[in-house]
Amino acid sequence: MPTWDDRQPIYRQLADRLAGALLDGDPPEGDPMPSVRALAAQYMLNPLTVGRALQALTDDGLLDSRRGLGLFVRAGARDKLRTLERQRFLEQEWPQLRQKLRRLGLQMDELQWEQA
Amino acid sequence: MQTFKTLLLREWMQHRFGWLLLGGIPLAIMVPLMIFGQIQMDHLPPPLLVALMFAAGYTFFLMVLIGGSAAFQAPGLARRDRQDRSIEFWLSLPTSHSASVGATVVMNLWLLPLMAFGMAAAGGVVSALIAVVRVHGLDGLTQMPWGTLMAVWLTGVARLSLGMVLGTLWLAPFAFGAMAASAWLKRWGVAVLAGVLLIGSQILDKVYHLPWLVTQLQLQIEHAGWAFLPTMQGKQGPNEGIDSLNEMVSNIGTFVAHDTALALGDLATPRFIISLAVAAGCFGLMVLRRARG
Amino acid sequence: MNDTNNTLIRAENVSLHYGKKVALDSLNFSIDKGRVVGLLGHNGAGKTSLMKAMVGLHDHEGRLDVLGFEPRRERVKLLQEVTYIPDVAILPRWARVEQLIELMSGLHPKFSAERARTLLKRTSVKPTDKVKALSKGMVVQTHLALIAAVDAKLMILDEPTLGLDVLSRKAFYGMLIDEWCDGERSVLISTHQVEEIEGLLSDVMMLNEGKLVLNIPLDQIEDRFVALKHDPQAAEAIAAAHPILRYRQQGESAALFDGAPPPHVASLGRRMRPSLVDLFVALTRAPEINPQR
Repeated sequence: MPTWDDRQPIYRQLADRLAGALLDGDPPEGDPMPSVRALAAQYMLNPLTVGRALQALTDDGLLDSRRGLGLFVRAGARDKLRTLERQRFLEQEWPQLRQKLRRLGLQMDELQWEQA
Repeated sequence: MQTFKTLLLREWMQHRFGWLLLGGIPLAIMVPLMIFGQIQMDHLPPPLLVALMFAAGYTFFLMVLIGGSAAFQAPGLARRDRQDRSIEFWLSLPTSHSASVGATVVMNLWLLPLMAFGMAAAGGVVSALIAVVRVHGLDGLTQMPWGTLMAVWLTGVARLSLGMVLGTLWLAPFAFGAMAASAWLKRWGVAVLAGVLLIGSQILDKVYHLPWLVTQLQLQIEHAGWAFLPTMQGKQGPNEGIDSLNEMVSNIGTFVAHDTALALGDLATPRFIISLAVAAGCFGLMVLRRARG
Repeated sequence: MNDTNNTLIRAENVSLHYGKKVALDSLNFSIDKGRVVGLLGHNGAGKTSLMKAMVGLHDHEGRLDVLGFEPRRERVKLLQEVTYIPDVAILPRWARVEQLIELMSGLHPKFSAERARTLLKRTSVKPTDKVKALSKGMVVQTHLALIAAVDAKLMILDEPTLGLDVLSRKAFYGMLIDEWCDGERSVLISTHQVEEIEGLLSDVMMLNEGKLVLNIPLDQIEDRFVALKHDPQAAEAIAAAHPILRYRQQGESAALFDGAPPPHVASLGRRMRPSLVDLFVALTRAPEINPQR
């Protein structure tokens, strides 16, 4: 069973995971999202939690709610996501990482940028 | 009603195999025994009597087995679900405690024994026919008064079937008492009950000169015997030998009718009603035990 | 009977005694429809007692209202609307799965044999299998399939995954989510394996020695409880603010507060998601000394 860390509410972590999948094109733009029940079963979560996660993604403008049909991946979602992710990385994760690099005394050429 | 029928079905599913074996194995043993074994008869009675003797003999022997079986199983039945831990499953279903205990009792003390009796009666016919052929040869079959045979046999089967129902009712206080004792006191239940009744009644009688309990116990068993077997409740004196058998055969209809009337009449007595009340009390104890989880 | 009400269970000052021992101490709570409620507590905390009281298997004081029924008095009617899996896998070992389906059809008015068979197809259990030939995990899955085939509004599960391996537990939770969580039905599931179940729950109730020490929807936990990871230097200041639990997580010191700590304390640490496990350790007293980490 996937484990959830202690930093954020579970629904937020699920939303992030689903967003990550969207970035990879899963599901592609215009396609329907998996149902709440399917996601609940897949991630072993209460459907209410899954609902909150999907709501968060909708609020972020990544999903469209079409009446009677369910949730669909909005056109341009991947670009939007990439922008959001880049922003978050540059504003939050990168400064922490940079601090760590400095603390460890690692230089740019030691980072093996070319690999994988 | 649907619930009760399903509870009976459960009993059938769980116990039918044992009872079918009880009815079937003696048959499987008896047939080869009779076909290949030795049958010695001194007086060479007519085919009808040969048939009736063997049919009755086999059937009565089975009835003893059946009775013993039912009696032996009864205490265990009271603890059956607790012992295999399935009691919690049954308690989680929407069935009343009385219906559950009732179905167990009805099926295992009445219906299944009756079924086994049916097999015994059929086996009796088989044994009778084989005996007739062994003793008289195939002529025995041609000489057989089939009408009389059927009449006697059917009358007998009917009376004995009724006897099983009524006789078990008379023994119900003992059976339910043993079951209640087993349910509440577990392994020692029956022993304690038997001890209290038997030893207690003897002590009251021999030491305190109060024979009341002994007498009641004896009478209860006597009445049960009268219900089980068509003995005219002993009112016509002891019956033995072939002579009275002849009498019975020729007057079978009146004899059985008379005896049945006596047996049914015996139900309308204070003794029977009180014994039913005792049985009901023990039944209540079993229901209570189940309700306490 | 409350048909249109959203509340399925209501408890007012419910207490339960085993002789002198207090198993439940004045519980007050309610459970609405469409919820998955985890009943957490150590062994002996009162989980089973509470569930038994809810299905009419135990006397209690105070008012307990389950689906509009008083459990003790209306047990049979209640059990037609509630499905209950008691502690351990306790299906009758003598039966075949198909026989159990047949029996449930006759005993549970809301049972659908077809749905049961469909649910069974998700497992590796065949209808012709005998219960005694099934592994423990398969028995529990079979039991759950039988229970989920009842169109009940409430499912009460008492430590259903006890003793099961990981795969069986996954399959169990999967079936539970897929077949039951439709927003109309509710599940009350007791366990002491807190980590595993956290994601499934919508609400949590924690029992400690018979008392209800926490009863809260999961999404409100973060509003009420504050978990802070902090450096060792801040330990004293943190302790002075009276956290309900201090512990170590992944090598770092952490503290759990009921209610927001004063701002100068809060700024000493990084805020984390308070996990159910930590709450459980903080609010209940374990029989053994060391909490699980």
